[in-house]
Amino acid sequence: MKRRGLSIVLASTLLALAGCGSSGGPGGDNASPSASPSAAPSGSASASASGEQEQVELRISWWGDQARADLTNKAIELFEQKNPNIKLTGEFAPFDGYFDKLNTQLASDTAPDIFFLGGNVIDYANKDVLLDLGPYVGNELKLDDMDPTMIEYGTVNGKLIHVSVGANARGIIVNKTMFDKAGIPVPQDGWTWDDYARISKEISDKLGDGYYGTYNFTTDGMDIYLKQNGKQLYDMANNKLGFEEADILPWFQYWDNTAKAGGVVPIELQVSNPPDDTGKSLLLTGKVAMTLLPSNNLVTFQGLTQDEFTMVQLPRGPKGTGVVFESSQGISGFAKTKHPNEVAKFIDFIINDPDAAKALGNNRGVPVTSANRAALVAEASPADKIVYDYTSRVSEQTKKEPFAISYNPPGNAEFIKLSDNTVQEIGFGKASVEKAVQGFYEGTVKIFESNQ
Amino acid sequence: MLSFKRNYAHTLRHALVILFGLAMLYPVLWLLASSFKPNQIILTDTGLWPSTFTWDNYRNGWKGFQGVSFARFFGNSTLVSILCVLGNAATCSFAAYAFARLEFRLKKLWFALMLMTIMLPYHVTLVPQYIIFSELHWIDTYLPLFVPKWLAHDSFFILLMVQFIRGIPKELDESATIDGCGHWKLYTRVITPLLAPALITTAIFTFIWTWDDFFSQMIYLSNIKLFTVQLGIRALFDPTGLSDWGALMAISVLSLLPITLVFFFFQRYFLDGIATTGLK
Amino acid sequence: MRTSRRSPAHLQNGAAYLFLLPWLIGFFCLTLGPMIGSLYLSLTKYNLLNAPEWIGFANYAELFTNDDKFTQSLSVTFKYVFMSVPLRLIFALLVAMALNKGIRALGVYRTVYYVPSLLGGSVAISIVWRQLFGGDGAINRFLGWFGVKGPYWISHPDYIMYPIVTLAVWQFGSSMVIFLAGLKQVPSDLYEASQVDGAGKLRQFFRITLPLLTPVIFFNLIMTVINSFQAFTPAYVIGDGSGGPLDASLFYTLYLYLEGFAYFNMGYASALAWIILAIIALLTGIIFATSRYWVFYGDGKEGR
Repeated sequence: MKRRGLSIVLASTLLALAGCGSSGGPGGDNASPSASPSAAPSGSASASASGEQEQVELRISWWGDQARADLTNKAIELFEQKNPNIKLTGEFAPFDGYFDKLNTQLASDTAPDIFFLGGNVIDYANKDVLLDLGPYVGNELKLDDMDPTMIEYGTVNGKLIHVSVGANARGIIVNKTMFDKAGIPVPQDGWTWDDYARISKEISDKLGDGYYGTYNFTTDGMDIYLKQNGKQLYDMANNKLGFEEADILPWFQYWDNTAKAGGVVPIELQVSNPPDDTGKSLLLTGKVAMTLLPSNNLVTFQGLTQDEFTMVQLPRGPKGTGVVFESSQGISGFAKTKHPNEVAKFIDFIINDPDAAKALGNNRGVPVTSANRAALVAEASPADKIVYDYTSRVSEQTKKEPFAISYNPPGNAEFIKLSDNTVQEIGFGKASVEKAVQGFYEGTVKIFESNQ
Repeated sequence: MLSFKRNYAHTLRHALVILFGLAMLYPVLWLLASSFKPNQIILTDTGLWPSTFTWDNYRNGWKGFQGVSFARFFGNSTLVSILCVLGNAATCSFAAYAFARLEFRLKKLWFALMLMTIMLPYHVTLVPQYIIFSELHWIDTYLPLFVPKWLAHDSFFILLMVQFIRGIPKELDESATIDGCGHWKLYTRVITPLLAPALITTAIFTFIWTWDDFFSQMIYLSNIKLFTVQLGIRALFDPTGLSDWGALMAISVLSLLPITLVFFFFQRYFLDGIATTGLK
Repeated sequence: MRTSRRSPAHLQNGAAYLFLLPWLIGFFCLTLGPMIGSLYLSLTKYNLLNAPEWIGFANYAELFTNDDKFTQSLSVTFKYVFMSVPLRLIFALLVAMALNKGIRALGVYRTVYYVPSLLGGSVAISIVWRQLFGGDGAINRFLGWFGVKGPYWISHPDYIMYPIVTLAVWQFGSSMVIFLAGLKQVPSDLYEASQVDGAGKLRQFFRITLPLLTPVIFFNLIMTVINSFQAFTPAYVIGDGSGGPLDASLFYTLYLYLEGFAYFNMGYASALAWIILAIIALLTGIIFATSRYWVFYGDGKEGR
């Protein structure tokens, strides 16, 4: 038994080696006995058109937690049932490690055929590693029912390299149960940052030791804050940074002051129990009452606790809330995939098939096609309804106060790390706010320049 | 009176050594105990003895994730480890035989270079090696993990075996040569049997190091189906956050089992191996 | 003997090089070639996708003048080495001496103390460590019995080094086994002689045990130092994998990994590799150079 298992793996390793030598293609995963030598990269388009029974194995990767993985696996299963000749192997990692891994895989030509990307599409589009989906539109991939702004979002330098699978709007998630316990009214849309700081402190004071008003979201809320003040993180049209050091200093100061007043989670707790880690988040254990989250996360969070959540618009700055309804994440294909047709087919399935929508729900945001939205509205849970209600309020708001959709600056991963480090520097008392922000801005410029 | 005092001191020392030993083992015992606790109480039940006992963690953990069970990861780790063990045992002993028994041109130079590679930190060859393997399209296969072992890359074991072969009386070789043995026969018939203890030491260390290796496996493997146990654990630890600590603990226990077993079976070779290589 | 060395007829070149062939291929393809390669790459900008671009010493200049993370990772690594190596060796020596006094069931103790060395390198144990040192982990509960409120060991930059060092010290067993073997070789008549002279335990230790053990200490020191500089798994798993919090777990190896394999600055990573090589070489060089002042070879090697 043991020996047989061993020889099979050994054989597959050898096969992988042989396969790589001849085709120069990625990966050793196609080395199963069924992978016939006819799957030469050049003939794949015609092969799949004529030979219906050709077995194709694809790899797909995304970030997220187990709950999201369960939903995604369900959708993958459905896809496989409808396309018996395609087999998908899913991989997932938490957000932090996901992109490090993806980068490694891309550089070594071992990336999955399909992978999810977020606001950092630009970084990857610039590296020419994304599959041009243009040729498949209208055939395998139908976009007729998709919002034009979303299609535009995935089109970079004239090529469609990304298809959004969900839209969301960021907002303040509020633990109503904690507010009730503290005897404080739940905040309403239209509040200000001063309100936010005051209410956070009240929660901490009323509920006592170990309870806090809010997480510190300096990093996640930075682009919103800048937009509220007529600036932006990244000016894509002119390819330059959209803010100066002096523009961002007050934002860090605001958080420092709020933290010193006592309304914010202590930094070491924030590090050990990050807000979006569903395994550890203090929002779920009823210790923290508010934070900034994308609307699609509310359903996941609500499913994990007895406490009651709701969503409120962000506190307003001079120009408004700075929030728009935008792509939360989407799918791209690997430029060197051997099976681009099947990749397009899968993307089509995700955005157009109501069964996929029902399997995935709003986990990655509200579906981007009206058919799939309709499929979900029909069976919305109370948590879903809160999300719909919130996103429609945001849509209304943006009609009065339009804001541009934001792309992340090049070198986003490094930038996020820098920003988090700056918050920690201030939080752990390693540097004054002014000094930390000075270092932050210098670092931002450096990252921006080295990623051109 | 005096003997009583000495006895007392003796007992005290004994007690201290035991106490200290228990403290040393605490993390391992904690891991073992946690693996049998129901998921909900792992982080709250601090006692070493589970208040409620369950096998669920093992069942859940063994299932793995994304449809790939830990059976596969264990199989993969075993395969890689065995390939590495065979490679190291064979090629390192070849080299050792040459260095210990044969006379050849530039021997001193090669020997000195071999000694230097023992102390060479892996950082300095890491990037180019990765590039070479990447150019060969070996990424996401096991080749980068075991091929180096088939090229006697772990010079430490060459040195170990050179020392050992030098301790084998030369008369044996000479009488075999008189019997008409060539070098290959000499190596296989005379040296290898006598080299057994050193070969075993090499084998078990290679096994344990490969089994425990995380860094190169992480760099070179990205397809889940090729994952080893270490990568599986790390992946299990990552995305699920706290949701299934029990499974993580159970799999951790299982991952430590093979090396622990190897250790207990070959304890003598092990500790003697360390001691002698350390001293010579 | 003398003739065999001189006459080429006695050289066994063919057979020898055949036996040596795997190692030679490995040496050229996996060691020497890559070393030259990384030296070259360290003078280039290379991201694995485009061809290397020659930039001279720019990587090194950047490292030494403009890279806070480099200085931080060096200081973290040195802190780790200077804390963990001495502690580990001292523990190993003390326990070895306690065990060497003819204790019953020595084998069992030797095993118990060795097991951590065996398991310590695994991902599993690093995860256990993360738990034990967590905010409400076993360590802080233990401290709580004494009324001490333990810090957030893992998530506070001032404290995360301690769990990592503790993990290293915990694995003192392998050094201990070597010390035990060394202690066995100290002739007991030396102790008897000194007892006759009326020397105390402490004096015996400093006059006899320690000097005779210096070769073993020397060996342990070199190996532990070299290994400590290369630590990766504990920093990667106990920390957050990217050096956090606040780069306090940014070990040199981790930084090199991030630069090379997360950001794909292969040239920069190669420069980092050469610097750490130089540092390790320098340190071992110093240990070697000073060894003749403190390492005592009982067999009179110096006089030879």
